[in-house]
Amino acid sequence: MTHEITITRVYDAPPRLVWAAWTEPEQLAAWWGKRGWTARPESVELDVRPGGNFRVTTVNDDDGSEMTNEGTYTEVDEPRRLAFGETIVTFTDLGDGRTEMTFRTTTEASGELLGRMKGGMESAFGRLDDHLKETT
Amino acid sequence: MNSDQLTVTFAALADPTRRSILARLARGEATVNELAAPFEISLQAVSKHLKVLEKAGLIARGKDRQLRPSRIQGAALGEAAAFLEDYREFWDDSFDRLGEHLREIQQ
Repeated sequence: MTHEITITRVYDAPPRLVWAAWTEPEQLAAWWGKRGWTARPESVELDVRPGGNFRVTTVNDDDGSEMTNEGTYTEVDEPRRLAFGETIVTFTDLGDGRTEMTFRTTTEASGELLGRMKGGMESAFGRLDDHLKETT
Repeated sequence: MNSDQLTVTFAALADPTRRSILARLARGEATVNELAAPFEISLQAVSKHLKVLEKAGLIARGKDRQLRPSRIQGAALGEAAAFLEDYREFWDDSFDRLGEHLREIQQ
């Protein structure tokens, strides 16, 4: 499918801080994952260079079930652009201490990634209890 | 649906002609001839597309040897859409949390 998912957010922080939040394991663990899931800081491995791998394991706060995200960085341009798989994240300095972050990914990549995420959860726990919401 | 089946579903959905066929079938079942009419491709080519869609669980085909009308199967498409929605939610939640994190570390 050629459909793309694009999410744009403006953060009240300069690009170097947003970049650090993406690339320092302890910081990434503080925000990565759905609500109700917590990343284990010791599980976060970020080899931030082209060809380097990342790996994050999050734990469900209620039932302790685990989910692992992993991938390979394809582009690392500090503090402007970070790409992994079919996903590109750009950080634009708005010049007033804020950063516009744009996240873009294709559905092929998301389907594959989610297939792995869901597959792992189902095989381990036999259910997928996340609520789904409408997007187009 | 396991992830292998999901891969097959997304591969089937990757083709614009197959998406057009699905859009037509969303309005009701149709024969190969009816499906081929809007496209400048052969009946054989349409049949191939239908096989891919059938294998992906996106359509079912009638048993009538001559006509074999196709109809859409909502479940596979729903599963594919649910994955995308779930994925979107993963990132929306994460980026909300990223905003909270950035506020905290600057206090």
